[in-house]
Amino acid sequence: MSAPETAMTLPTGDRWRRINMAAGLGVAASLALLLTVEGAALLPARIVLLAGLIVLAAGLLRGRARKFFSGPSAYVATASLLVLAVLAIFATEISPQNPYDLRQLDIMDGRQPPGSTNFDGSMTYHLGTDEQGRDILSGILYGLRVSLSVSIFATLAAMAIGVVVGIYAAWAGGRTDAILMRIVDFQLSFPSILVALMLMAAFGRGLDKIVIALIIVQWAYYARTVRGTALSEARKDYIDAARGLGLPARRIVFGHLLPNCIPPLIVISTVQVANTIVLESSLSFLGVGVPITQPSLGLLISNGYGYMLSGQYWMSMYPGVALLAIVASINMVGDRLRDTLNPRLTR
Amino acid sequence: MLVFLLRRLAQSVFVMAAMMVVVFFGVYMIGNPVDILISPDATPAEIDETMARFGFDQPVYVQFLKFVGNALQGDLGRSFVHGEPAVQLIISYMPATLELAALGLIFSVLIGVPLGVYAGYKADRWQGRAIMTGSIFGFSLPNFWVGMLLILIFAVELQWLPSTGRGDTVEVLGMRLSIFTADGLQHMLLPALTLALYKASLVTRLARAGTQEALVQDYVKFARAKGLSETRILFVHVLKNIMIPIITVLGLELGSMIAFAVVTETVFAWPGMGKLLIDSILTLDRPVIVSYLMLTVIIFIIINFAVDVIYTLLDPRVRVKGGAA
Repeated sequence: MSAPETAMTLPTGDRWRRINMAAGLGVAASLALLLTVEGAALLPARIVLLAGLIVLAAGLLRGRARKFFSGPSAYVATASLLVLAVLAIFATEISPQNPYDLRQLDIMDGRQPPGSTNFDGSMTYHLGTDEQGRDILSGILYGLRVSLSVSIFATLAAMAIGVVVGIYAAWAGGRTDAILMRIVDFQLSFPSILVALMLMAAFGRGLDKIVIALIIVQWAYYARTVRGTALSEARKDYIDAARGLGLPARRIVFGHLLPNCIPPLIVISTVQVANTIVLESSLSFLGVGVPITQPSLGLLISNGYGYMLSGQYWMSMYPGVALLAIVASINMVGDRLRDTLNPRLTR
Repeated sequence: MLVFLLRRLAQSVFVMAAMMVVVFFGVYMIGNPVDILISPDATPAEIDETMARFGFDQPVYVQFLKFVGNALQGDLGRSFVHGEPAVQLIISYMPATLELAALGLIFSVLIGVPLGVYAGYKADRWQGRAIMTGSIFGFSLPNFWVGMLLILIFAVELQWLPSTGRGDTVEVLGMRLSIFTADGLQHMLLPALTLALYKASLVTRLARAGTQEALVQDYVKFARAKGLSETRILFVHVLKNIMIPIITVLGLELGSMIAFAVVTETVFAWPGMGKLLIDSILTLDRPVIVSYLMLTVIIFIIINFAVDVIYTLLDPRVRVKGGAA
């Protein structure tokens, strides 16, 4: 099939679509790199990550920015999300202490209240310290990074798997469709926290393990959504037109059907990142999540929880505030996105 | 209706069978329970003897067939830790979880419905917007964090309510329940509220959407033309029409509430099934984990079934369609 023929049939937003896809892949790849490499300090990968996220956001809001920023809550949520994302990505540079470098810790500084200084006055613990003498603020920044990267990566991967399965089911139809959707129904009939809990019980702790568990928990949700979209899209004229042109099935599916099934997923996936963060932190709180060496916000809260009843609230209180801030701002941005991108809901 | 019920029943049996396979092999992957059961300085002979006693030395498929055979007779093994039959153990922990989930459900309706109806009524005003923003926070707040905050405020600072345990219980219909004693109810208040908050924001959103849709309908115009008060229109006429989706969703959510109780129970040290599950996972108590999962599946199947039946009873349109099919 020659290029000029298809160029006519492609919608005008195609260039942006390619840019967005590239940005999405960039985000996924850099996250994968940052998650697998111990310490996660690769600066170029982190810059790619931030740039990719910004391009994705810009692509999403292109031509709709005015509608998106129609109230104060949109500004507040976007600003706080941006700040938290930058803090998480550049945690190593920003945080006053590397909380997992034992040379920088002093056990004598354990459980200091917020605002106290270390013994020679060279450092102020603005949010206090935990029982090991770790600066809570630094711990939060590192924890934020773990929480965010695990959740975003798991969401992207689950989305990719769900899209493939959903489109395949819709395209194949018949028995394949029925079997795949029964599996999806089966999995969705159990609450995600329960499934994730069992998986983590079987796998044991670990960053890679919790990512896998979070992917397994979520893919079915996307598969079902995409299948619905793909079924209704497949009946539209442009697919008939592509068939009429004699394009191979592979090309129709990946070049025409797939790009049109993704937009409805964007809003879902935004909110889903927030849900994943909550799920991950709950698992870590229960002690079956991330390893102790790379605590997420949930594990930080869990660590400080034992001291809360004795009034040493800061160890779990401030990580909790950070968790709330990130989840609430993602949810608020997602809420605005839904209103902006879904024309049916506008009044 | 009968065909529908039979089909659902067949589906449920299939789901049970599939779950049995998944659960058995999933749990089989979890560590070696013998490490927990015997002391580290046991001799190889002792280890072999223990393995043989629990049947761990046999091939996986033999263990599986034995498991299925016993499960069909309602026997899912004995807890390694407690020494009791696992099913009985879980059932003895079950009332605590069920009463917590029930109270949580009641709270979520009591909080969510009025807020949602009001938010739908004032959808474009600041009140409506404020409630919706608030509901985002309800969604965002992780369960354990809400629980912690409540403990910090009401148990540590104000010292009004207890933070852990069940308090006094009474025997009702053979179950030990806290909900009917003043002390037990005090202990339940914080966990139930924690459990309810997420569902309450869900209910708020559903009620708001339903109210917004209902307010433009003819029957509301007619009721207004009759000169009924707005309160009566909202909480009698509109409410009746929006309850169906809310009940459906809540019914489905009852199951997830029992699952989420795992977190809440851990925070409040509430001795229910969820706490038992976490403890069992940490001690590799396989029979208890398996039994918990199987019982949860049964509960879920029953809930889904009940929701379908209630749904057809509440909405005659579904019944007509179901009868024709």
